[in-house]
Amino acid sequence: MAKTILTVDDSPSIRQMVSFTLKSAGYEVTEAVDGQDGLDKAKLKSFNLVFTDQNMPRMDGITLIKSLRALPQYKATPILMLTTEAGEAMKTQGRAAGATGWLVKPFDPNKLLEVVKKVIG
Amino acid sequence: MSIDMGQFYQTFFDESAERLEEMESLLLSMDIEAPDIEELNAIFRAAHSIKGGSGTFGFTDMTEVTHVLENLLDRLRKGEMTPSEPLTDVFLEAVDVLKAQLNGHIRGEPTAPESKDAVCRKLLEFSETFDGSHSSANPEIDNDIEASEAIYRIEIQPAKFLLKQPAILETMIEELTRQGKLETLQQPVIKGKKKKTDKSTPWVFRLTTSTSAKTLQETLEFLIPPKDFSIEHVVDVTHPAPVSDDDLGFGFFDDLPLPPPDASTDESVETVTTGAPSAVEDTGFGFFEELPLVPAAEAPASRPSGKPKLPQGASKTAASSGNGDSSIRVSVERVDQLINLVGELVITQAMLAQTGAALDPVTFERLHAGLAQLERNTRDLQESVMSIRMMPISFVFSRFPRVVRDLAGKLNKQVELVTVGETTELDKGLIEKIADPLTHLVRNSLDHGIEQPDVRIDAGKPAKGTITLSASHQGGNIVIQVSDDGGGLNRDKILDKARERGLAVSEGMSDNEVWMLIFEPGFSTAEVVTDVSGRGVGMDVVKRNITEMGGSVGISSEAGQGTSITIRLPLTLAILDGMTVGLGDSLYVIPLNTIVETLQPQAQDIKTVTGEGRMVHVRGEYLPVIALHNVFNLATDITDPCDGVLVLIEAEGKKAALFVDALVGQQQVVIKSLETNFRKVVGVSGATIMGDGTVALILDVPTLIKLGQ
Repeated sequence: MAKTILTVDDSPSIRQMVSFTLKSAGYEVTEAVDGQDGLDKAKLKSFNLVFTDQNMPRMDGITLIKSLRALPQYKATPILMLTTEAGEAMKTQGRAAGATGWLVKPFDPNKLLEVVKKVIG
Repeated sequence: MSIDMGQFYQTFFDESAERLEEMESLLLSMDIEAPDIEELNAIFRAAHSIKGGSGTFGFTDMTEVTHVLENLLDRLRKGEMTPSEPLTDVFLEAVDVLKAQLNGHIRGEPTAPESKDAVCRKLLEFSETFDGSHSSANPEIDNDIEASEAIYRIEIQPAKFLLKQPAILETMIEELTRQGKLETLQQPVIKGKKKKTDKSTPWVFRLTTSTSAKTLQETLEFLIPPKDFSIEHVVDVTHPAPVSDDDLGFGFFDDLPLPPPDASTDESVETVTTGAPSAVEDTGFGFFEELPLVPAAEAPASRPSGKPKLPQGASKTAASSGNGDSSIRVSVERVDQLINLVGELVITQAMLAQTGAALDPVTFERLHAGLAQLERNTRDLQESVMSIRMMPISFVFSRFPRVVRDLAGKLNKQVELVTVGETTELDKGLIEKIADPLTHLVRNSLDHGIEQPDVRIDAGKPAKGTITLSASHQGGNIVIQVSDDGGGLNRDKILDKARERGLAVSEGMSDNEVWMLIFEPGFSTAEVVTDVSGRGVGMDVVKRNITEMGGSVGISSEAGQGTSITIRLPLTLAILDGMTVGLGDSLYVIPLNTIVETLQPQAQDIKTVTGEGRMVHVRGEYLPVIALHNVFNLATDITDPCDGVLVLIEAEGKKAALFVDALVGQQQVVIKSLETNFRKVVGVSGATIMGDGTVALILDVPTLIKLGQ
């Protein structure tokens, strides 16, 4: 059974790119348009991996990660932040919220797959 | 795997264009005194999003601008900077540059870097002004990634007190982690049954940080005696620019138990490490916490064994809702194709209806019922399809706050723009075409209409002028109005100017006729020709554009009170409410919105004026009679207006009586362009196919009225 990935980003082009890349590598991908949407979708179904952007309307990435970590089924799910900020502040926040790691934008599809393979094989 | 990024470009272009519009309107509506934090966040997100996308898809010139912009916006929303009018101006300028860059990419011709560099410089100047002394002379780098970092090797001796109080070590590790990227290279080995720590092996950490060695030294001295640790400067690292190709661009925060092959490699390289190999760190991704691989592998396995059906059902809902957006993007061509097909269907339906009408209603009852239903469904289908092309007029209105702001600043006038009825929908084609004429009208109102603040105050009006843009539906038309509360049109000045230009004018002209003079080619009443509007070209072009759209323009003005220009447009370009009239063997369609009334004249109402043809007397007005059979040189038996029908038509404030044989009926017709299928014919604006398959020409009323004069 294909591994399932939830990608949360308010930018349609990034979402499309991430989704296309992961799908063409055989993963099953669900898209969400912001943190709230991501949380709603995550509750409907368990995912093997969650990618989330940080800056989004309605609910940002950090809040999403915190909310996911509060759910029993997402205690141990890898959650990666897609972010343009690789600074300390972001890392501290991400770590505190319970993120597993980060991926700096811009990135190319191969990098994305490399990271995903490292996390869920 | 190689993935063609080109396939995502269109989405990026659309998205960025939308974001830029959003940024612009938010910037314009922003309250400088008390900016709404949510709005600032939204502007920031827009810049951020474009930055992420442009970097990913390789449009790095846009990344550069958004990067600087984003940093400023970030500080703004964090309250580190205060918004100001000049700052907003630079932001708007940056948005303009981004728009130009975006359009450049869409066309495939990247823009020259000068404007980009200029705006980046301006933005940086702002951040420097606010910075004062230190650090952020180059905020570009400061905010995102440390400009330069160094790697230190930190060795800590396993002294007794440290072993007894692991909390100290934990605190220290925590402290170092705050400073930068900390990796454990080695830790004391625990040996034997008593779990005795081998004191010969120290803890060895590698810290990548921008903090200076001195600060590190001080930090550690708080916790550990200086003799027990050493800090060694290994190498300076300069991080590549965020956009650079060398940036590996991902990272994990903490130790990650990696899949076996990787893990084994790591062990061979890094002797006693806990598994976060530097190789992984250097590629720029990381993990916060130890993450067992188990759950990922377990989840799919455990689910089928438990409740096999539920997850599948759930996964279906998630997948269907996962496709997410409540709207989809479809190219205009496809919509147009759909509209064309529906148009054909409407014609086919009309043909069937006509054929069916000849059949006996009793014998063919079910056929008639079916045809009636077909008609209803076709009409609904047609309406639905047409509504796809409908867009709210806010798409056009949204550009005006910017226009007004820029222009008012240039002219030193105070102007408030009020928009009414932004949700009024009209055809996308019209939206695109109405933008330029409307812009011209708004500029005109601002330049010629609204007075200087002191003049206004002298006239007892508020210093701040108001321009109102409104849109509404009236019958089958959309009415757009541009009104100002300025000085109004000056009748004498217009008349003088008209005489100067050699136009036929007289003192006896009605106000309305005088106002319409400003739409004549080569007319301008501006005392000084400004670069804003009014070179005498323009108003006539505005009128021509609107007429080409099948619309009309009207003007009303009150001295000292202001001027209001009203544009009437058909709701759509594809379908027309028309009156079908018969002439000889042919059928013609008159647009319903141009018809005032129809009448059968009495002989005494028709007067023949020498050299001017026939006139008809209708309720005190004398209107020229235009015989359609003369215009098109057709043979007809009816040559006396009293035997036929006069259709009173009106366009551009002028009326005439069109003489036709008979009225046939009122119906909606699908407009087919005559020019694309045949050629332009004077007096005809298009053609349509009637129910029986014959072609009927749609009359160009404004031209016909002109012919009659």
